[in-house]
Amino acid sequence: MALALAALAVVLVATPLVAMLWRVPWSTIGTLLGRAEVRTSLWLSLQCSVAATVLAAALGLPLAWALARWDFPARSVVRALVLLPMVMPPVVGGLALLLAFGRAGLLGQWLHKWFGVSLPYTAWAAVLSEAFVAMPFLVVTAEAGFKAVDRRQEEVARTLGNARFATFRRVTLPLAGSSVVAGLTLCWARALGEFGATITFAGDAPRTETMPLRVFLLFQHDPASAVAVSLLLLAVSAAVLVALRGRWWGAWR
Amino acid sequence: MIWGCGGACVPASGSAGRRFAPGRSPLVAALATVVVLASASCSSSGAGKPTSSAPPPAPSNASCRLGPPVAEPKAGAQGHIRVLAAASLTEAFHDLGSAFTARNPGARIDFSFGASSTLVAQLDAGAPGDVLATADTVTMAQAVAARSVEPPELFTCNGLALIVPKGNPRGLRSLTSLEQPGVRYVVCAEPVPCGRFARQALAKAHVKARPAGSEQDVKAVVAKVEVGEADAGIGYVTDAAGAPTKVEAVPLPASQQVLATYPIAVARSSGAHELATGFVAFVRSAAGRAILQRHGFRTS
Repeated sequence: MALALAALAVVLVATPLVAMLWRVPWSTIGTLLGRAEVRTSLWLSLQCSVAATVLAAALGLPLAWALARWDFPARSVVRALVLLPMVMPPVVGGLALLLAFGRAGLLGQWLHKWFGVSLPYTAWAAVLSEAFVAMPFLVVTAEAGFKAVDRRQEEVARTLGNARFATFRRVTLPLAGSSVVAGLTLCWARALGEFGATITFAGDAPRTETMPLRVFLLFQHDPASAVAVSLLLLAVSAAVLVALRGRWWGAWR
Repeated sequence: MIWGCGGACVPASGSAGRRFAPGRSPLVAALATVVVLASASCSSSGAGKPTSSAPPPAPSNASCRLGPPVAEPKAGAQGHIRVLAAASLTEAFHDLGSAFTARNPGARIDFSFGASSTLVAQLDAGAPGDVLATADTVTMAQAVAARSVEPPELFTCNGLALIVPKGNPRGLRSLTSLEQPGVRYVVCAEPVPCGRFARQALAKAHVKARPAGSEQDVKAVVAKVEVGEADAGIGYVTDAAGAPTKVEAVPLPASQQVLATYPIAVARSSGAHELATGFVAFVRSAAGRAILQRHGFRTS
């Protein structure tokens, strides 16, 4: 019985993927993917997802290190807060970002009043949306990595005369290296695929039409192109999974 | 440098895990597939399939030519229908639905409002629907071509307007005022009727300022103005009705106006054909037109 249900689970997941492959317009895929709007979206997606990963790394790695090394009173609260975007529906995250950083938002109104900066409809809003939903993946994976580093190795490095950051750079980071790389890869993949938060916060403008938005917009009047672009995104997701090959699962144990 | 596994590949009890060499071939193969597909996108010539819509009708200040109203259907019809209607018809169709069910207590109507282009695509994909009402003839023509609907009839018209915050703080009067510095305005997305009309009107008025963004349907345009994310939006004259305390609609001057003509049709897949036909007849009757006029739609 359990075996039958397990087989059904596999069928449930595999069928949509097979259906997509079945519907791909193989004969015209080159032309469809070569269209200017697809190329623009591809380039924009790559730029935004890399920028989002850099932002998530700049903020998330120190946070992961702090969560792994310090035992401060509100640690579990902070961890729960940082993980919230991972569990929250992305469109809700986008709405919350809009209420915070939109032109009339809690902080956004000051950004607009003092600096004339308005984030929605700009690529920066897409970057922020992607970083918001993807950072938890990096923090979780990196924290597990830092936690598993043998502190005695760090202590030895310190006794040998290395400063804190040198110890981090030369001992901790390499030892946690594959976790950090796995975290960065997951973070990047999640950022690349982000849709709900992007369309709600960044909106639909020439500078925010990332690949997932492109699929959504294409589907409304040109389903064949939508399937072609989806295949590209599917290939990227598959490549990421293959690259990680179970390495990140250790972080969840 | 000491390379190790960190926490990711060791069992919970281990500490300095075993070394492992990442297998190269599956990774290389996967990356190669991605690169090939991505380069297909980057290197192909830009010629793609043209958008599958007929050329839009020429903008005009013509009056709304609908023909005489049809007779109201017999009262007492029964059944359950689903009406797919353009977002701009939301308030008017709720009223039409109430009036129809008052005359036909055994009837039940569910509404689904959204961008006409999305509704047409959904109906074509097999979504349930008995009646389709779109905001322009181009999207209805797509439904006719897909054989989703029976021959449509025009039932009302609507004019374009600037949707602005209540009180019109920036004093926007026409499309040209959108070129004022610092004005951020939005329009509907291109496949959506209100987006097509807005772009036609902007081209006609030679407005150089481009919209900040595109919204999924006209109600989303109103929402952006309502929350303060946009100073103005291009929507319909009837659109302020959804949020009368927060926004107002400034009709465009006649020289910039574009008229939207709305068709309605019964879906071929309808399981309640008689009731669907009855509802369409009611919408096209004098009573139906009176309700539409009350909401700001034009019937002449």
